[in-house]
Amino acid sequence: MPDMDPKPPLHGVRVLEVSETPSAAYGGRLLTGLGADVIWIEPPAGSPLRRSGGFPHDHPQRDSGALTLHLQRGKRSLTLDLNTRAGRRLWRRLQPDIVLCDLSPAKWGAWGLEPDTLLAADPSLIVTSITPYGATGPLQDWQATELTAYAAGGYLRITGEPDREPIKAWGTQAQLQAGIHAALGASAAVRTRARDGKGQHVDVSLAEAVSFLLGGTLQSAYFFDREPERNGTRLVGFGAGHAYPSTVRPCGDGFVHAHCNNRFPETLAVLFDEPRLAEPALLRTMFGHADEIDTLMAPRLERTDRATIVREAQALRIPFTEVLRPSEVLDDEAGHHASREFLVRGEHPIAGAMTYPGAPIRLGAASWQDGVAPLLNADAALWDEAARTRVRWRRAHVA
Amino acid sequence: MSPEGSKTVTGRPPLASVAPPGGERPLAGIRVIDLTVAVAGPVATQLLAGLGADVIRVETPWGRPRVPTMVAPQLDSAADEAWNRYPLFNELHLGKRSVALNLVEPMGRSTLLDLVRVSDVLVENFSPRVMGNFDLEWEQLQAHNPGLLFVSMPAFGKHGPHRDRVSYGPGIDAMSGLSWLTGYHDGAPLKPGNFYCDQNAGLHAAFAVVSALRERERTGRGQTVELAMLEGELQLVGDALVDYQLNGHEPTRLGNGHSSMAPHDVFPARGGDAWIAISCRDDADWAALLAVMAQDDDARSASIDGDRRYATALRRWKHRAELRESLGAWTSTQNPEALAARLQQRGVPASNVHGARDLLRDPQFLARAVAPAVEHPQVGPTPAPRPAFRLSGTPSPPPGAAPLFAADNDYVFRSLLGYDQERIDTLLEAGVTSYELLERPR
Repeated sequence: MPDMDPKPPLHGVRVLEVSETPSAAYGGRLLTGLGADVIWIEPPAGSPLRRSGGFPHDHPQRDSGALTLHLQRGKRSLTLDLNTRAGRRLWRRLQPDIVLCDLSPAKWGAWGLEPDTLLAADPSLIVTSITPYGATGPLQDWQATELTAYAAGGYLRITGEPDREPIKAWGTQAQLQAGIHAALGASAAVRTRARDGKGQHVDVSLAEAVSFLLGGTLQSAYFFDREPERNGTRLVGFGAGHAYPSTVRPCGDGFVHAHCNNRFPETLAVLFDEPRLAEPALLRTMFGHADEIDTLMAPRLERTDRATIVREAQALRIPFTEVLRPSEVLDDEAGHHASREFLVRGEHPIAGAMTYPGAPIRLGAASWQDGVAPLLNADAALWDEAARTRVRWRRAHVA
Repeated sequence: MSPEGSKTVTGRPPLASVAPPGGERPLAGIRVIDLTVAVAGPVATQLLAGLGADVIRVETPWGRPRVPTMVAPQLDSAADEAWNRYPLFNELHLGKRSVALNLVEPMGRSTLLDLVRVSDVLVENFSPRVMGNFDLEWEQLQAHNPGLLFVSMPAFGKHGPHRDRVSYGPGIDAMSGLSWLTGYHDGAPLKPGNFYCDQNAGLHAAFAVVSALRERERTGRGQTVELAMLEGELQLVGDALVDYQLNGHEPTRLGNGHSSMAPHDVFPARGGDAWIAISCRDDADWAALLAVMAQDDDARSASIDGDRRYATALRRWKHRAELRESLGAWTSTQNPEALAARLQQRGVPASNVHGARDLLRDPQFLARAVAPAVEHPQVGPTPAPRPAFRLSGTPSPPPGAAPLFAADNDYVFRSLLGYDQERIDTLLEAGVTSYELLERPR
């Protein structure tokens, strides 16, 4: 009788995550969330990811960097020295279905652990590599940081003020995006393997994860042979006919994101009690009147607090929202996150009790798998389990 | 496109081509009903189409804008069927089919339910009340197909105090904290990109669908899949939320800066709006950068090398503002593409700040066919962006072009649902479907 109890979709899939950066770490977090058993393989001194802050009281500590605390929840940790021959043999005992790796191709190659070599040794393995420019092409050996990948992928150029240097979005966005592509590609490979038993190489490019974000502007650039221009807080655009506002504006007690109702842009005149916002010439080419619209909105915005203007706009179905600080996201004044049980508490042995963002994906029949980040080598007992296992664990558990 | 082509716009670069498909793709045999709007939902279903699913886009009979602006090509005949020529639409609906169906009409709803019976996945990203207004909630759909995956991508979630708020992507960027965090170190909050949280939500949703199909194959049962765009984006600032709790102060805006690396910045280059991004991770990168500089200007390199402010990594970081000026004076004389290549030859992470047009001509981009050509029946070859992964053992051909409006009515009504002409005529007469774009009813 087959087991018909609902399970998380990736139940029974074992992943070895060899991560030094947020990219494979976030890919691993998504796989963890949907039920995979993700083991973080670290060098004896700990993954470099552990050295990424912030840290408690800004004092670096191995087990409580913010990226690690957030991204490594629900995983297990094992140290393994891949610089040694024994280390490079030993990991196979863990019988992974997926190896997820964001190490540089040079390091991978020096160890003799290139995707092709791994696949030759075990054709059923799914090897997911995240490299700066992908594993093929003339730039496959080029290096990147978050910043230079953002530049290479074409997204940096459209972010920032038009009269200043372009800037990247806060944080490690390029790497997190690459992590999602890696999780998607790996999950697709799990699916094809269920049909034919064959693994494969899922070759993820960090720069391409950035260029994917351009989706919706490439064809315009191609046909009009014009560069989409960065516009500060306004939408990147090509012409005066675009809707406006879509921008961040200061108000009485902070900043608000102002957006017009695309179908009924004249409602803005009601919100601001300003008939000039409904003049036909302005409504025809709103983006062309952006400065004027900002000026007309300013007096009321300056004397109104965020909550009031957002409430009144939303009552008119005009999509205004608050520009929130991280602390305000956590405060959750409206109780929205609380009512959805989105923010979750986790008790970490070093960092203590903390609130984290919970499930990005909610399934009707299974819960998202959370937890706290593991201490270094917290799961060394896995080696004993691996030594005891004589049957091909993967064959038995993975459809 | 050949430069001789009758409708060619000057400067349009040749696009990559990809070998034809062979073998079975990950989502072969999976049928997806696409009820999505705006950007996030279309990104999700486009990714599914790219993995081989048969995606059927259900469009309202008046559902595409008919204004003949912003269409491609922008030449004389651009006004013909303008609704089939929107670059934004055509880029977000690659490889899908199109059927026209008015879900407000009872016959439209029952036709959709017929389609649900022969499909595997339904994706929608309306405001949460809309599917209820159509009387097409999970309870109704499940009765017609217990194996269905019912995927919803609301802005804020299907319940909660903000459930009925209206917002586009940038308004969600604002509520996630990412807009507040993004900006110049001396500036105000900025937008983190263009449709940033839409692309993010679409990717998360596609991952959820591909994974959830595995569970369905085990049990035969479908389920709901909910992805609130705000909750998808909050994953991307999780370290800021943790940092705040560890330290009690808000993380600061860093612009292009880094918490420990310097130089780590975007520098001016030769040309209009030309820039180069350079990161030195350690002393070796810094020494390599000075060596490259010495090739052009030995005196400048020696002077910077001897400057005590830049003697150690920590000092370079403390004096990063002056460093920016010192290096900028050099980079502004340089072609950014050539300088990036010289730095990379010595292992220094550097890149020209590419624009979308540069990417279409980029050798790496072309070699990996990141946006190969697909032939659109009305606008000709168009670049078709693909996700950032290649599967070595599974064919991943470029998706087909975006569908012309209602191009697959007959495929859906006749081949999939087995309707006869009389029944199709009834739908046409009632205005439930159409082969041509209709005027929006008053």
